[in-house]
Amino acid sequence: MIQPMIRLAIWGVSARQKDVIQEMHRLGVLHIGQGKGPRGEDPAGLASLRLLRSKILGLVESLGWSDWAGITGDSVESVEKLMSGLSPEELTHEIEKSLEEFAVRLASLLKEKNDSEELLARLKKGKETLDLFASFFRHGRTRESTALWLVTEENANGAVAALKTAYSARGEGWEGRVHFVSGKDAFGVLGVRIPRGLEGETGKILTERKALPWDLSELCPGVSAECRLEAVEKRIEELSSRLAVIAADLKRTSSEWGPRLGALFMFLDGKTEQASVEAGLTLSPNSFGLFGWIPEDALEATVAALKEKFGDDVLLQWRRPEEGEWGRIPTSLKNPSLSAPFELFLKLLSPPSYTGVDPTGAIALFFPFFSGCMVGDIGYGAVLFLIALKLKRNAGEIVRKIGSILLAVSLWSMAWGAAWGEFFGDTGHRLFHMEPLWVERSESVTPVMAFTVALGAAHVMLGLLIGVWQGVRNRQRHQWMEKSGNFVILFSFIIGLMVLKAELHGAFFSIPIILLIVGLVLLIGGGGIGGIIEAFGSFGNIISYVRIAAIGLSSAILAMVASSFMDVFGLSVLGVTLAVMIHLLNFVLAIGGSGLHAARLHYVEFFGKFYSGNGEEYKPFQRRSGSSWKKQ
Amino acid sequence: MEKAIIAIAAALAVGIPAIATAYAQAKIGTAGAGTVAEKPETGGTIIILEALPETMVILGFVVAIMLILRFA
Repeated sequence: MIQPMIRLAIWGVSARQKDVIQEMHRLGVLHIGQGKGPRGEDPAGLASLRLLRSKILGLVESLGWSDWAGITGDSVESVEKLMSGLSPEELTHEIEKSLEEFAVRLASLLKEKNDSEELLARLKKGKETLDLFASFFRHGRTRESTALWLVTEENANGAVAALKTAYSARGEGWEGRVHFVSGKDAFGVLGVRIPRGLEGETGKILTERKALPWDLSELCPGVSAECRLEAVEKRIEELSSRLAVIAADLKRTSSEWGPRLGALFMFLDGKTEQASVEAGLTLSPNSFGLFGWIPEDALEATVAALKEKFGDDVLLQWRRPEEGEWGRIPTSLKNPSLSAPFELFLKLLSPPSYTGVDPTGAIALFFPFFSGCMVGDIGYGAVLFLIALKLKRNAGEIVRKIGSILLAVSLWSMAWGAAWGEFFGDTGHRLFHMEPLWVERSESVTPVMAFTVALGAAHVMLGLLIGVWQGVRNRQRHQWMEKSGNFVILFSFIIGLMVLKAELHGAFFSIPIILLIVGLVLLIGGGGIGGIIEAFGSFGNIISYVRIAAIGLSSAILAMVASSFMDVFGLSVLGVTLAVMIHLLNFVLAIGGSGLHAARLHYVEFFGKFYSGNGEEYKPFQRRSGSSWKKQ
Repeated sequence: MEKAIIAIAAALAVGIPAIATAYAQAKIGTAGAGTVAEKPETGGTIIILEALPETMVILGFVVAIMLILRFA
């Protein structure tokens, strides 16, 4: 239901301006919609407050803390108490001073963490290569020197041959103490073990072959090549321990400082919002005016709170909206607790206009019904019921709402499961001789399809009726004529079908024909040629509801296929595993597909008949909860 | 022979719309992925748009079922 709104104007002396804004922020009911008065300048310090807010957000994100839902109103109020009476400049100065030391410590900790992680990654990469030369180093004799060189694959053989030639010429024996490992980009690492004293000559030969020494000296300085693997392993161990200490330190800091910084951020966010509103007030030298929209049921309490706090310092005026203002009034929805979670569906669209219709009640009624009809299995419904209960206990508001929606879907799934006689496909029939209360949908396809088309006709015609009512209420002749013409034409076809089916006398045909003519007149009068196209579209919309039967049928068949694995493989591990896996797949497909298609039937087929989503969302001036600021 | 022709007809009734649906969904999916990257809040709308072309294959499936039930 769309709540009736009241235009509230608050006039006061400039001295009480800040207090009034703060009180309205606390009350959190006024959707601010200013008049065309001159806009004041940004208060001093607003820019620095915004900058500080961003800095704190940066600190919070650096800490990796995100438990915004855990910040209570009390924690923000305690910050408010501490900071009360300070001007924006003083506030910025105080907070910056108190955060200075923490910010430096956090930055140094994060820098050390990043540097250590980078070094650790390089060491691990280096170790991977050194591991390939482990036995090469192990067999090194004390009178020999070991070195690693980076060399291209095509030069590697040439380099080895040159080394052999050089040592043979000197009479030194060459016993194949060389090991080459290919790497990326045609480069590889060449391990060379040579008698001590020949390092210089070897280096010269390899350099001529464009080889580069790969000594890892920057990672473990002052360590000989033979001991490098051990040194790298030791360094990795040290760094890993240090990183664990840093991680623990950061975790402790995050749990200690995260909620404080979060509360501080929320406080500053509120202050910044208040300062922005203050800048947007209509000004005169000694007074101010604050205007906005407030739900009718919140008016009494708001007026009482303002009167009690400010007495005669403020003048309050309120009135119902005038017709010329309808386009500017924000839309606030209020639904009973059972249907309120279904408001989530409207979040994907712009909200209904103030003079429009809130379809939440209809969605709450039809969405679970359609979705449950598609799933139509007692077993799947029971599993979904348990999942929904779990989701409903979640801390997140959106997740809880999804849980409520799924709960309704699960109940209808079980009800339709009883109608179709399905419990994990035909398992119920096999084990408990379960029989359908209505029909078995995998056998009686045509009646189910006819039923879903009839369901579609009812749903589409309900949408048209809402469109007619909306047109009449808003005095939009074209709308109500077009929608009613469309409705009458559909109705005439239904009557015609009934006459045909009941094989009544030909004279009865005059009723649908008269209705058809009346409908066409209304349709052309309201929507012209476009109206006729719209009428054809309505028939297409109704046929589209056959998807309820089609998706349900495919789900039922897949469930039967899953159970039939038990026939093929018997009561074996393989048979049971395959059956469970296919049932799981079918469950996911059934829930996802049914939800998606039931939503689509609402968005395209149903809403298309009446919904005009060009409203403005009701956004009261209040402390933003949780992480809602992220959406800004 | 007649049954084989009916089976082929049913297969075509599902297969051709399935190809059309796949083509449309691929196009919508590509554009949708780009949109979601720019504006993550449009995710829900994109999912609905992605489901729109499925009407073709669902109606094809219904036609196939009708063919099998009526003629096979």
